[in-house]
Amino acid sequence: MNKKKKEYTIHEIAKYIIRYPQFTDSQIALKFKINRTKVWRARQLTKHVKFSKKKEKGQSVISWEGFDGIKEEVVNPNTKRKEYRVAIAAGPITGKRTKFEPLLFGGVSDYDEDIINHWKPYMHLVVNDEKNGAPLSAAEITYRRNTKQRWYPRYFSNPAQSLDYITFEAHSRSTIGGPLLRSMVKFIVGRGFKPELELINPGEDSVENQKEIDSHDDIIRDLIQIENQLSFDKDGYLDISFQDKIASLILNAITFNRSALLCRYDEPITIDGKHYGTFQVPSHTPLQGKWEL
Amino acid sequence: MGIIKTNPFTSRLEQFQWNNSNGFVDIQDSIYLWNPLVSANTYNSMWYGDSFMLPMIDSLRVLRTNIGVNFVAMGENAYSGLGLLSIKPEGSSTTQKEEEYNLVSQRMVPATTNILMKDPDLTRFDNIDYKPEVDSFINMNESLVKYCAATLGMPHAMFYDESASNRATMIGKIQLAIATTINPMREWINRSISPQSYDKWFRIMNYKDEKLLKKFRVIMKFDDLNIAEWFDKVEAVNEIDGRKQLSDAEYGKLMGLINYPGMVETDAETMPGGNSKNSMDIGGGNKLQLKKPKERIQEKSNL
Repeated sequence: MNKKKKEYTIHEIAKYIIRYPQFTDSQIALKFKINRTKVWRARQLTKHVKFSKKKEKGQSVISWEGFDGIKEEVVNPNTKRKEYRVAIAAGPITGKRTKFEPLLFGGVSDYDEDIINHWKPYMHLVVNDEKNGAPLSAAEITYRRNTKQRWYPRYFSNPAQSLDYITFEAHSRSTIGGPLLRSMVKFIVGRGFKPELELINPGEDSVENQKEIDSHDDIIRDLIQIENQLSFDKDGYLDISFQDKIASLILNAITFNRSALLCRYDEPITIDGKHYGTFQVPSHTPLQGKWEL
Repeated sequence: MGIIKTNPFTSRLEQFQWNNSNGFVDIQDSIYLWNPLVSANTYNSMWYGDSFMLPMIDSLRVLRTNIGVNFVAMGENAYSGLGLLSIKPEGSSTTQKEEEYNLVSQRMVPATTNILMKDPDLTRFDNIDYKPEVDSFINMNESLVKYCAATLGMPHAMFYDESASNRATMIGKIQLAIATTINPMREWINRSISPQSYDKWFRIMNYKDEKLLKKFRVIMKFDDLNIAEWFDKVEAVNEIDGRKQLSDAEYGKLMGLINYPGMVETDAETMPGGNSKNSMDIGGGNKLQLKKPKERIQEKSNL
């Protein structure tokens, strides 16, 4: 029988880091059987949050003393227990501080400036020779690709790494690069888009083809109904239309390198009284990341 | 987003990591768009793509520095002027002289009136004119902006264009860029997004009708922005109308006017358009000249 792996919370790991400062990330990851990214996140948490050493009954593990944020006491509807929701403060710099500190990196803001101003995006991946393991240059890879017929890579790699993304984002926000790409998307999307039927094997007579397409107008009408239901803000959250989401999707894909729109199937889509929920037509499409176009 | 999972046999995308978390999202439950137009082929970056920002980053950095630092310094110095104050020290030792210099330099306030308790014979003020090449500097920055636009494969007429001789030139440039750059991008977007949205939904809804699914597919059709207004098209559409009269619906469609048939009276007189189509030879060297709309309106107003 398989023993179920215990899930450690990030707070438990953070407490362990404070208790044993001599341990490295790798050692802690090995101890908890988690990846180093989670340890790194826990370590960042320890820099911003003061942990109380003793946990009393009914008291939160984390003490928010000294944390620049708005603390709010809420009751978790599932567990019926009191929890703290913390919003990070935004606005003018308070107190004796002279500059903002980035939340995640835990360093000084000069770090970001260094990256934004001087980081040169380059590939981290190295393709090696299959015999001696020596790294190959781009020219050598191209040569092999052209000469060896059986040359086939076994994986795909992302040419943009985390620091590249920071650089792209900073330049799209603070330079003319962002407005240029946004106006390009405006020209691409134009006045919007709509579904249109196309014959897979069209005949020679274009008039007949068009007649056949026109006779199936109901398909397009149904698709537009789905789009309208996707564009409707059902939950009262801040939401944008499906067309704007696709425009943002394009903007993200050309600013960074890719983007995705997730589908949710919270309730069945209804067209002319017929439900399509069981066939996985999405009812919501939450877009993560950049919303504004 | 994190890494992706592909099928080892077909190389098709199956899952991708969301927000670098452990979980993967099925490609069926998302609309995934990657940028293949500038992808790094050598490093096999299929399904990841690359950024349009990459080729313009250097020029963007220079522009940012120029606007944020150099323009400011140039503006301050060119406007308020640069000066050099020379003082003959009165102290005898080197330490005393240094103290004197420090005292003066610390108490001087820039960009306002200063009073110096010093013998005028021991001081001298020189204006420095370093003659900044402001125009060249502006030209350089403008060329950097043009370069950024050029990396996208678009003329800078899409954003601003003072160099265009007239409106028609500018519209021509934009229409050329739409044909050469924007439409191929739309084709890529259509081929990526439509199978994950419209076409997929169409196949889900009509899964029983195999004949229909084999006959049709659904694509995304983009509508262009109104770059050319209706008055830019009058001449061309009238030429077509002059050859053989168009119906109201088709005339409105060509002109880009919404509900044109509803605007005109159904039994109104029609006027053939075009430069050479408003007159006809009736024999004997005589010509029948049709009245232009303006003249007809003039006649009505005179009555």
